[in-house]
Amino acid sequence: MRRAYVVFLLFLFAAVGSQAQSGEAAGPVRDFQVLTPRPFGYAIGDVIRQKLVVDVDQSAVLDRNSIPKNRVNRWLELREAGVKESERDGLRRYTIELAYQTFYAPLEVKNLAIPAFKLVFNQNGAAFELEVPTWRFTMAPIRELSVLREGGLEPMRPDVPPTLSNGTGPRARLLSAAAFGVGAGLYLAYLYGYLPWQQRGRHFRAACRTIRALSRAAGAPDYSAAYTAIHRAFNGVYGQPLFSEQLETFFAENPAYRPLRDEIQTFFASSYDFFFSEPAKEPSGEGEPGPESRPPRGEPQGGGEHKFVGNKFGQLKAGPQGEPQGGREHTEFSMSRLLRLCRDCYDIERNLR
Amino acid sequence: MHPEQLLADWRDKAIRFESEIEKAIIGQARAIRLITIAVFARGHVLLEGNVGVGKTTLLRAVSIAIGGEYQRIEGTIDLMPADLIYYTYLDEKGHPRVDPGPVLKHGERLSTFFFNEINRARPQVHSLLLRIMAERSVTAFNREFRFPYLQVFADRNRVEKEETFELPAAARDRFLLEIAMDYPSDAETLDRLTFDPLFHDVDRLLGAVTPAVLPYRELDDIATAIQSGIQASPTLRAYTRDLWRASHEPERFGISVADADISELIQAGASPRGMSYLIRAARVHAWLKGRDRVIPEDIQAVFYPAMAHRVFLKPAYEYRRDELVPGLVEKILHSIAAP
Repeated sequence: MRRAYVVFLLFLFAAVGSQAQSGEAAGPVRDFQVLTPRPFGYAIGDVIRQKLVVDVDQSAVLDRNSIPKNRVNRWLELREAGVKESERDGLRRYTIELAYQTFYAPLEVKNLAIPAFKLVFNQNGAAFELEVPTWRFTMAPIRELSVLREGGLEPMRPDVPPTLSNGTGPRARLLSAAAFGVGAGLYLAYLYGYLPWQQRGRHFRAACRTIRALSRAAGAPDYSAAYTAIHRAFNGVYGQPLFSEQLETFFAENPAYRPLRDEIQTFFASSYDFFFSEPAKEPSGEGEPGPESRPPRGEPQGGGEHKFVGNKFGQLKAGPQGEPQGGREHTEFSMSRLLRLCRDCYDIERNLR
Repeated sequence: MHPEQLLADWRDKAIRFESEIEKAIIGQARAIRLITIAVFARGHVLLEGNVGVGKTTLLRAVSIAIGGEYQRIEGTIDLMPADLIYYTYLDEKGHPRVDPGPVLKHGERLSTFFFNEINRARPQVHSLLLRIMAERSVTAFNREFRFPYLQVFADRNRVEKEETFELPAAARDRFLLEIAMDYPSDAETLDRLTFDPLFHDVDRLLGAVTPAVLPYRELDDIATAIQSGIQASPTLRAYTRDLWRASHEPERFGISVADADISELIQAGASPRGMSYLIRAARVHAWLKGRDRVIPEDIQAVFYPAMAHRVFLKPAYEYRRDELVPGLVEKILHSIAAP
């Protein structure tokens, strides 16, 4: 009889919406409190936060599936359900924070209730339940059902226009970052030689620079590097390695170089002599074939400027037969002739397009 | 004789050899030039081409112009190594007889051996052929037969895949060149081949070829003279090294092939033997052009026939070999600079 009275009292507290319910419960539940907010003054869309504090024996574990699913009923949703677990004084305390949101649209003040549900605990293989009681509250409409225009009231006020956040700082930072990026890109393009005024004549400009440096260098001039520089420039203009058999294709694709055809062909023949003859070998008695267009060996090469210039292979020149110039080892192009060819080609390349 | 004079004389003979063959084969100047290179580099040749392009006629013309004996055998699935060495039959008196087979029949004078449709033959036959190619000798009837002047030509059937045995990598690597013979494309040659009655009778056609323009017994000596007489400079060696590396790791040279992941393409590039074959062929090419030194163009001219069959692709790409390898070789040649 007395126990029934306590339960009735609990129910009564719940019905009027007490701030807290607490009490000793039977079984492993040592303490149970339901902390609720005010039970009145809610409108559509409001969030109602409940907090359940349950102290149980350490051996009891909450079955989290017993917390209601997010859709409670037609007008009530459970937005959040946070469960915190802590242990203290040999007890396990569960703090369950529930956030309900009501979508009920009352036409006048209305009594409503968050339905009761049961929390389930497992202890040593056995389950027991703890009922969370119904919680009653009232909801009110946002405004009167009919709003009279004569009263000077708008049926609805328009939304407050959103205020624009101040963009000066980010804009300034974006501009400075963009300026820095463009600057860095330009510098990179400059380093790679992508700038338009660098594109013109870049292949032969590099070759001329190399040859000029080589011709100024002390000691025997490095013809190998000089020839290679010019070859690189031709390869660059042609877009792929240029070999002497492809010269006609080269002139067809780059007609601007046609005025230098003879000089370029002589250069290729001379370069092939330079690179592809073994310097130590005695030249054979065989004649060179026609298409090589290579001047006969030992013949003085043109004017004074084109005459033989010694190179690093100079010591190897005296053949076993006492021939003063093997012809194989020397290059028919002096440094100045190479540089002149390079400059002419540079002029052509620079003035293209 | 002075070595230079020797080389020059032989060059004339080689040119004459080519022109003799051109009497019988028209529109195949490139294949004839490559065969000449193979003859003077003393290397074996894998012929590639559709039926009816004149492979057999070309080889018969070559064997006539070289002199020596010509032997031909058809690869079939039931051909066994013994079939190459001997054959057994009953003579007119009913006694069993064993006679030398196609390989042994001509003894030392065998200079041209044509193996038709080599991939129809079994691997056992391939391995015998490998030995003949590599050592120019074969053991039979308890003694060793030697073929010092032998040159093997083989033809691969590319149309069918059923009942064929793909040549193993080791076998392909032993061929000096793989020569592709295409149908002639210019109208005049096609017209002559179609309408000129001269080309209807192969035997009469081959009758026009002067026999033994090249004395086959001297070919080995002149091949040695060519190899030692034609120079290869350090720059050219570096160029060859780069080509070799590019055949192994094309991605390091910035080479890419459309529609394939270049770093996943190559299983194995050319072998050192392949590179030495390449230089042998390039030297002969330079000599035929009348040079006493190898220039990059010589290497480029023989690069595809000497290297294409030595590049092995990963299995995923092997089936598209015919479209990938030409592009790859082309890219390699167009990406590596010589000087």
